[in-house]
Amino acid sequence: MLTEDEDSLKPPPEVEASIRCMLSEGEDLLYCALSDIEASGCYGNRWLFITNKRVITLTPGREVREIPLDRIMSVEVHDYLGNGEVEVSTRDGREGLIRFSRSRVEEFRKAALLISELVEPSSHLKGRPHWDYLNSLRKEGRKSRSATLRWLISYMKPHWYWAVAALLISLATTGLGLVPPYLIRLLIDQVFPSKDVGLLITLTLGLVGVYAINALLNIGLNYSLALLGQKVIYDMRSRVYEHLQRLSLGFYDRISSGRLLSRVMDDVGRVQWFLVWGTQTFISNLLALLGVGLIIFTLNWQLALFSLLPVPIIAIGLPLFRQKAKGVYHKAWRKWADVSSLLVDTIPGAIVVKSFSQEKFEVKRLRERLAEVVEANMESTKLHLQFFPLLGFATSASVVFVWWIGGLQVFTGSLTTGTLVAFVSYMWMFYGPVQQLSNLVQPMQQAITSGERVEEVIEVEPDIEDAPDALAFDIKGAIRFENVSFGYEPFIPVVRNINLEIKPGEVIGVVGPSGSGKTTLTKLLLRFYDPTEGRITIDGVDLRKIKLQCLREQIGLVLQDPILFNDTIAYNIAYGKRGARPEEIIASAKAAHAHDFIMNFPLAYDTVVGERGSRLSGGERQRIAIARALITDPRILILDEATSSVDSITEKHIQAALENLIRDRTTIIIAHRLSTLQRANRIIVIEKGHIAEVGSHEELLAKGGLYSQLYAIQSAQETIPQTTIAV
Amino acid sequence: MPFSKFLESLNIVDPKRLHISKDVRLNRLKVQLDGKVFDNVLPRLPMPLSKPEFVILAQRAGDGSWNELCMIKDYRLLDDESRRVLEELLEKNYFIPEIVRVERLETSGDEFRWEVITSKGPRSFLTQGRRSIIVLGFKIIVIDKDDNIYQITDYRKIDAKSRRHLNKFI
Repeated sequence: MLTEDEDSLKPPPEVEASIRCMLSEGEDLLYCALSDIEASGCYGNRWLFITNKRVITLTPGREVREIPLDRIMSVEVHDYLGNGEVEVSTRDGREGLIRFSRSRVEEFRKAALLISELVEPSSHLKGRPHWDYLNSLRKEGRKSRSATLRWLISYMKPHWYWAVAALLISLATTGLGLVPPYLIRLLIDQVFPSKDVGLLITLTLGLVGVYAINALLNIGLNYSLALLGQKVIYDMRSRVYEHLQRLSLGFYDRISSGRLLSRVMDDVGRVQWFLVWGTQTFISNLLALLGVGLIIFTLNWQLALFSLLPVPIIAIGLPLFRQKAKGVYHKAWRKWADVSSLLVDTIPGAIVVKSFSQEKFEVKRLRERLAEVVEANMESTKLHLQFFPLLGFATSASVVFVWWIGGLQVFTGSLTTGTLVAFVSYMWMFYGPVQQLSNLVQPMQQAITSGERVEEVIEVEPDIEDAPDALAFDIKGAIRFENVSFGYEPFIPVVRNINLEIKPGEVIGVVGPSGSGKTTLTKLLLRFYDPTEGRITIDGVDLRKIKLQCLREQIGLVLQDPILFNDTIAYNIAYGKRGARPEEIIASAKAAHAHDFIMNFPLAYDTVVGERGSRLSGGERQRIAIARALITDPRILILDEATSSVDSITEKHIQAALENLIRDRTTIIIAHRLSTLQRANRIIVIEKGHIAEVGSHEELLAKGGLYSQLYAIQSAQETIPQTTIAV
Repeated sequence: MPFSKFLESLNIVDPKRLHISKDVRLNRLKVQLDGKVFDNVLPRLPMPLSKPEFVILAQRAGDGSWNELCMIKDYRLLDDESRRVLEELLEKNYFIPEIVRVERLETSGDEFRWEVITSKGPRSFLTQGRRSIIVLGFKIIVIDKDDNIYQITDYRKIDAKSRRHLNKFI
């Protein structure tokens, strides 16, 4: 299960066990949250548990407090600087329940909502929804790193031949790399003393051949690795994206789009590096290390021991250096960012600097910051100078040692000159893989973590899917909500016990204060979510038994802030109907009163609208969204605050467009401006998730309830500017 | 209102029902539709890049609004004379030269400097950013810094050297 932060929601088993011991018969755990501030005000763990009978706060091993729900009259969350507090009002007065830092504010807001819900006399909370949810998190647990590794490597399976080819070529290049020192040894020991020209030519050609084959193999290796990498990343990105498209809207509510993008782009990129370059570098360097190691120990084990001297410096020093360098580089980067931000402030703000004669002050400020950049850069230079010369000296010194000891052995005749020269060449070849392998550790760990993050996304199952016996049919437009309740968090209902019948072709207005649950009703109708209780039917068929595509194709949705894609106007209008003919696009734009302004653009319908439609005004975007809804000729239409963010002239255009749109369709208009509901047959007033009032505009005004209050407030607001002008 | 009613209201006509000739006014057309004559008519392209054959014939009213007489899905099906007259005016109102050869294409930062041979003669211009080059299937639309538009109808048919240049961004 993928959530923003699940650790603070799951109590450890010992805490859960101790709380369970306290529960009486018929008492169920509903919710828990971990605070990071203790009762004393110091940082520490303190748990809040909510059952269907009481609220318990607990500091493990120290303090337990409880308040029965029937004593609580109300609950409030206070926001303070750096922390917050849940406070309850009981018959005996007000008392602080638990404090928490700003990092935990969301959990405790939910807790407060749940307590208010429970102390409400009409509460109909049942079961242990949140607790079951927490348990489901725990059961799933985390997979082991080796399982993730196996899952990652499974992506290479369809392209195994390229992976095998790359590995074989890599082995061949490693093997070939070992040949030149051996040939040089032959040159020195056999060819030069005997002055054998024939052998000289053979060996020279041999060397040229080895280098030529190596160059060719390297081309093959890089090509096969690049191709393999592209194929793997293509498969993985497409699979993640395809999976994201299958997931229901509830998933997007839980995870921010920024985090999802990072998983699709950055994490998949790191995984690709690991699968292709990382594993290949690891295997080939390991083999090279073993091969060269074997050769140098076979050639002369005493010299080989000397050559191992700098290995600890490389193997331990390099990761240490990388760790230190990260902090130093980051500091240099931050210092440079400080300079940039000063320039971004003062160059466009030159008029302010000059009008206050602060030029000298600004130059001084910049000089100070530049001096800090110089200092930070010198710090990184010093770090390099502390490590790399030492590393260079250690490796060179051990080579010198080998020359000295090997030289003595040459004098005594126990070693040939050729073998010594070959040995030194192999020695240099030995340090390369040690360095490469030390450098690999950290990025490989990061890549496996990225793999886990990608795997988490792919393993999430969609909450909303077609039932096996789901139907597809032409919708007439009769809608019925039967005892519908729903909450985005399973324990906090947003709409409660909604009963509503809408006839085909009827126009229904939905009004109510912000957060009353109006938009949630439309999301349920589009089956972005399923009700937690009750059911919704269209033409008598439960939504869960209608194919999703059939349902959504026949419901048109126009939102307050319509999202357009960065393509042409024609593309955006035709989005709901792939392959729409040009005349269909023009007809829907005309119906949406968008044709005239579109034709005034030089490229008319071929005009690119910019990211999220940024090159168009709010009213233009809205009318294109109406055209997009109309082109599918939907039987049911939902207008969610479609005119609330535009000026009154634009609103008139949109109203005219809507007149065309709602004719002969079942229409639900959610409106903030009550004036937009003149065409509604009935108006539903929603308050705190309930249907508070139903009736026509006149009936509701006569009733003197919430609707008439909202109407009075809006009428007053609309008259204020006129009064001001009159004065 | 059902969607079909909106489609009907567009008045899409069979090109065979139309005859187009030059109007006495410069850059205007005279249109005969089923024997009825309309003058002072202008052709308008709703999709000049993606569907340049789709034409709306319209008259401009005194208040600047447009009275759309009819639409033709493919003007190439008009009789020869009508087609010639219409194309002559479209060529002026929608001046989109065809790039037949790309001589040079150099980048510096986010800017491209083009030296091309077009159907209307040699031309050099600057484009800025990825958004100034639109790829529609095999068609490439290039919009320069001054909003002049050029097109390559089918980049597969352009010569190899030009294609090598174009490969820098497609």
